[in-house]
This record gives sequence, C-alpha cells and structure tokens, in this order.
Amino acid sequence: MGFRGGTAPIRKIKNHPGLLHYFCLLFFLNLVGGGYETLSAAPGQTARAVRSFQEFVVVVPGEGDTFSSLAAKYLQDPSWDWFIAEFNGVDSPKVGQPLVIPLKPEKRGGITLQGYQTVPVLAYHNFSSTEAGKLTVTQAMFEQQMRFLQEAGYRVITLDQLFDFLEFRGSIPPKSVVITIDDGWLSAYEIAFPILKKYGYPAAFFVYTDIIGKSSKNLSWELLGKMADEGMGVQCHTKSHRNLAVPGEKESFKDYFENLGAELSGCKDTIKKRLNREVKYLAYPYGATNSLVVETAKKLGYRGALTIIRGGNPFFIHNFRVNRSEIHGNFGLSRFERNLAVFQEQNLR
Amino acid sequence: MNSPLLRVQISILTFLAAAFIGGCATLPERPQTPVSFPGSEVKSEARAPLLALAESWRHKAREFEKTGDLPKALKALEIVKTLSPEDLESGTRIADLKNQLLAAADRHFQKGLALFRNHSLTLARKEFLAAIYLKPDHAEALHFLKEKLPGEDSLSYAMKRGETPREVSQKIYGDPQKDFIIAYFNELKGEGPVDFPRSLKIPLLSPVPQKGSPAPAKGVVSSEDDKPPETRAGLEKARGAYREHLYEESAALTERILNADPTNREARELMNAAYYQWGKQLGQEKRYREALEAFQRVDSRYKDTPVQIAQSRKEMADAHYINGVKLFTQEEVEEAIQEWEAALALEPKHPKAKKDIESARNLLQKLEKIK
Repeated sequence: MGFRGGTAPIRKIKNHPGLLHYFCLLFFLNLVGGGYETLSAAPGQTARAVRSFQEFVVVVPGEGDTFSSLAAKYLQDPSWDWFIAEFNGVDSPKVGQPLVIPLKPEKRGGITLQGYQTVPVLAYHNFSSTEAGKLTVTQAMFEQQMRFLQEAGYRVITLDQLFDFLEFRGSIPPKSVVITIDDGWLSAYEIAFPILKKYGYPAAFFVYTDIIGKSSKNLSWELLGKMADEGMGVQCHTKSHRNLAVPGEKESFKDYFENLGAELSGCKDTIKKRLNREVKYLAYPYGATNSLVVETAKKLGYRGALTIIRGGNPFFIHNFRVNRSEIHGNFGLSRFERNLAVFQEQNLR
Repeated sequence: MNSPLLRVQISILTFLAAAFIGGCATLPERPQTPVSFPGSEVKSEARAPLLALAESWRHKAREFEKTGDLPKALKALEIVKTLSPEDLESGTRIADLKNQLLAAADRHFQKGLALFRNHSLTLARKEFLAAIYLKPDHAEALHFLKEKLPGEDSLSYAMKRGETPREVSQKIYGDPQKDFIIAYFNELKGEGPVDFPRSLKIPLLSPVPQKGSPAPAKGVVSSEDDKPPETRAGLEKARGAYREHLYEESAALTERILNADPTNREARELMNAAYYQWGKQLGQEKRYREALEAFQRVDSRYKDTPVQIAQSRKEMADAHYINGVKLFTQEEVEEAIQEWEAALALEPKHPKAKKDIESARNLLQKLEKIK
C-alpha cells in the first residue's frame, strides 16, 4: 500500500491522451502541495517521509531508525530526538508506525500543567589526578560524574542554549545541564578537557584574565584557544577576581565604581583581543553581586551572569542572577545527583 | 477543441506552466491543505493511512481534553485538521479551543496581576505561568515573570524642569556626589540641567558593607540566600507560626523583620497574609474591633481586604445597635443612645440606628416635659 499518484505508468498516459492533462495538473499540485513517498518502509530501509506539510512531516521509521537519526534528517539536529519522542508520546520509534515530526519544534520554558523545567548549572574550579579538596575534584570523580550524566540521560547544553531557554526563545531537552569551570587552572585543560571531549560535552570556562599564562599552574591563551576551537566556551570571571559587590578597604565609592567597570570591560576586551571571540557571560567572583554590578554588566553588553547560589534555573530566573551549584571534591555521587534537579512541580490547573 | 493534437498541445502547455510555476514556488511556504487526488483509486489508497493517523491524533486530542490539557489538545486537533482537511468538526473544535485558551489565559493573567499588586508574589507567579502555558506568546505575563517578579535593579526617574543630576543624586541616593553614576548610565555630559522632559535610569545601590570587611573566601559566599542570618531565621519562624495558625505571632515576627529591612518582599507578603488570617479568626470569635484593627494592618490591595474591613465595621455597628436595644428595654435610654451613636459612627447609613436615636430623644424630651 502506498501513494501511487506520482508514479503512474507512462504507458497508460500514452493510451489515453486526456489523462496527460490530468496528470500534469496532478504533478503541479504535488509540487506546491508537499511531497510524498511510500507510507511503509520496506525491511532494511530507513525512514521515509510520507508527507510534508507546512508545520510537520509524517514519517514512517524504518529498521535502524532512532529518534536521533530522524531528528538529524528532518530537523537537521540529532539532539532534538527528545522532542520527537515527547511529541508522539512514545519511547522508541517502531518500524512502520508513522510519527508526526513538527518542523518548528517548540516547548518554550519547559512548562507543563504539572510544573516547569529547571536547569542545573554545575560549577567546578580545580582538578587533581589524586587529591581532592573543597574546590578540587579528582580525575576519577569527575569521570564518574560525567559518566553518571550520560547514563542517567542528561544532556549537557551550552550557555547560549541555556540563555535562549531563559529568554523564552528556544527549547532544550528536559534533562539539560550546563557545565562551567572557573578561574583558569591548568588542570582544567589537563584533566577535565579530555574527559569532556570523551563524552562530547561542551563546557564554559570562566577565566579571570590576570592569571592566564601567569604561572605553570595556569592556563595559557594558547590552550584556551585550543579548547575554544574544540567547542568549549571562554567567558569572563573578571580581570582580577575581586569581589565586585564590595568596595576595597582604601577605595572611594567613585574609584570602586570605576574599577568595577574596568573589571568587567577589561576581561571582555582581553578575551576578544587574545582569542578573537565575543564574550557574553560573566561569573561573579565569589558569586557576589548587587544591583549596581548587574546594571553595569548589562550596560557593558553582557547577556547574563551567574552566581554560586545553589539551585536549578527555571526560565523566569533573572538573567543576571543565574544559580550555579558548586561541585566540591568531597561530593559522592548521591550528593552530586542532588544538584541535578530538572523539574519543579507546581500544579498549574 | 476535439482535435487530439490540440488536446495534447494544451496538455504540454499545462505541463510546462506547472513545471515553471512549481519551480518558482517557495517550498517552505507550502499550503496547509494537502493535495487532493482526483481519481478514486489513487485517492483512497493514498489517503487511508493518513486518515488512520488523523484518527489516532483525534483520540489523543480527546484524551488531552479530558485531562484539561487544552494546549496539547489544540495541537493534536490541528494535526487532525491538516491530515484530514474536510473534517469540519475538528475545525469547529479548534476555533472553540482557541477561544477558550485565550479567555483562560487572560483570566489567569488578571488574577496574577491582582496578586502581584497585593504582594502575593508566589501566587502571582503561578498565575502568570498558567497564562503563559495557555498562551505562549502572552508578552505581558512573560514580562511580569522575567522583569517584575525578580525585583528591579534600577528605577526610572522622570526629571523635573531645570533639575540637575546632582539634585537627583541627592534625592535618590541622599548624596549629591554620586551623580557620576546617573551620568554614566544615562550618558549625560556636564553637570547642568538635563534636557526636559527626560526619564533617567537610576541603578539601586545596596547598603555597602563596612569598609575593611575581608573579601569572602572562595566557596564560602555560596550562601543559599544573601539575607542576614537573623532575617532568614526570623522568616523561617514566621512561616512556621503561620503554618501552625498562630497568625498573631507570625505577623509580629514579620513586622520585626520589616522594621529592619522594609524592602523584604517575602516578609511583607507573609505579614499581609498573617494579619489577614488573624482578622478572619477574630471575626469568627466575634471580636470585631480587634478584627478590624488586624485588617487595617493589611495592605489594602491584599485579597479582599477592603471588603473585610467593611464587613468588620458592619458587624461592630450591629453589635453596638443590639447593645443599644438591650439598654433601651432596660430603660437605660441615654446609654442606649450612646450605643446607637457608636453604631452610626461606624456605619453612617445604618438602617435603624438613626431612627431609633430620634425616637429615643423624643421620648426623653416627653419624659422631661412630664417631669
């Protein structure tokens, strides 16, 4: 069984010249109306789009098709697999069972009648091959945590994806998580980066520019550039890592205000100059901020900023007060998991 | 026209025109209506599976409607309508659902707005979320969720004619020398009066911690809340008291927090709720004066506070009136008049008090004459 209108035998048309007129019309309608192929995929065949409409396509999965392969084919992005599954209310594609794939998939804000999505942002600092500290996570533990994310079905997204979600512009997978690494320690390159690459996870490196290349323990601009070329983000953690919310001991308020601007613009400009990459995000040193810092960051063109207040982020979180959960070296997996809440129940009926 | 040659020529021309127009057509702008297939054999074979798919989505739509998930029901019905364009019933239902969704979204938004104005921020957020779920392009609900509820980092100040940044700085910050902040954020040059009319963006300044306080150590400032510990503890206590229905205690605790931190929205919201509930509790105990006092502590925009105040006044007026009647029957006429006057003071349009006062005074005058 299948659509046959588009493949009517030429022999018949020759025998019935009146049909040629009709078939031309059919061909025209087919062009403007949407394409179609066969409805059922033959064994061993991959998915067929049986019909394209303006808003969606109807697809019959073939053998070996996955939601990822369908998302790659019809949405040009395999990471939209979750949306096809969720939209059709099925766990896996079944051969021959048609699916509807919306061509503009949207689920902005992650709101349902039962509550709303939250996105955890994890904050790491330093890594060590053997010794854990409060802000130093061992290689083995980091590997274990990344594996846990993969096995538990989490999707690591970029800051751009997070902020599209926060600005109610884009949708993200239901179990999204963001990974950030602060400061600019060499261990981030030597230990974390290979593990991130292994799992295909993007991370954002928030560096304070004064320490880059300063000693053998710090990252260099070259290494940062290399990581940026491989999909990692490089963002601002100010110029000198000073507390932005408090004037210094011998600092007048006017000096404090001027230095605040220099911390935020200096970091941004340096990264742009050294890596030729735009900086959009800021991580407040010590997570400390106030209204003046927020307004200054906005004025200097930052898209958003992150604190270290523990907790997930619903889409309506303030863009310049995004929560981040620090992952400490003494965290076991269960404690790590407690920082991964991705949904907040709230009855919206 | 009957010439076979002519018919073939027309067919070829039609084919060429179709190919040309089809080639020019922008494919992403395909019409929603699927192709109609003249010829019964082709049509039935081609469409049957799509109709079956439409039927399964119709079933989904019904299920979503049953659970009250109208946005999903609408989406499912739109798929049905696209797969089966001649289905008039789904078309009608789509229109109904769209209207229902718009009306419900607006109801939630208005409710959220009222709650926001009453400082019931948590409840307001829930309503705005519901509005945006029902109508994802509800720009106002989104604005309140993203901009209003988290609190503002700056205020908008309308300059008065001839006013200078220094004067504004004095007015807002209590310090004329912070005018450089106003100049920076508004790109003002010079110290003279600003062009009028002009609205200025003025960042709010947090209280600056005492100089010399050491920078916090890494990982230490990751507090879950930037409020002082005593505020957090006080709020927790106040919430606990509220949960235990100890509204008077909860109200007193929140008032103490607000004395120290008048901008604490959470404390204000809780204080309103506590006084409101306490007022209702007192009203049920017929302690109308105290109930009235409690309601008068609540922000007048909170829930139906003005109604509760009016109700308490009426109850108090009625109590005075009844007392007056009792005194009158005990021949305590002057005391009765006092009670009725109290009733009138609370409720100037009391239906009986005024008349009874006049009658009682007439009676007193007659008694005086008899004496």
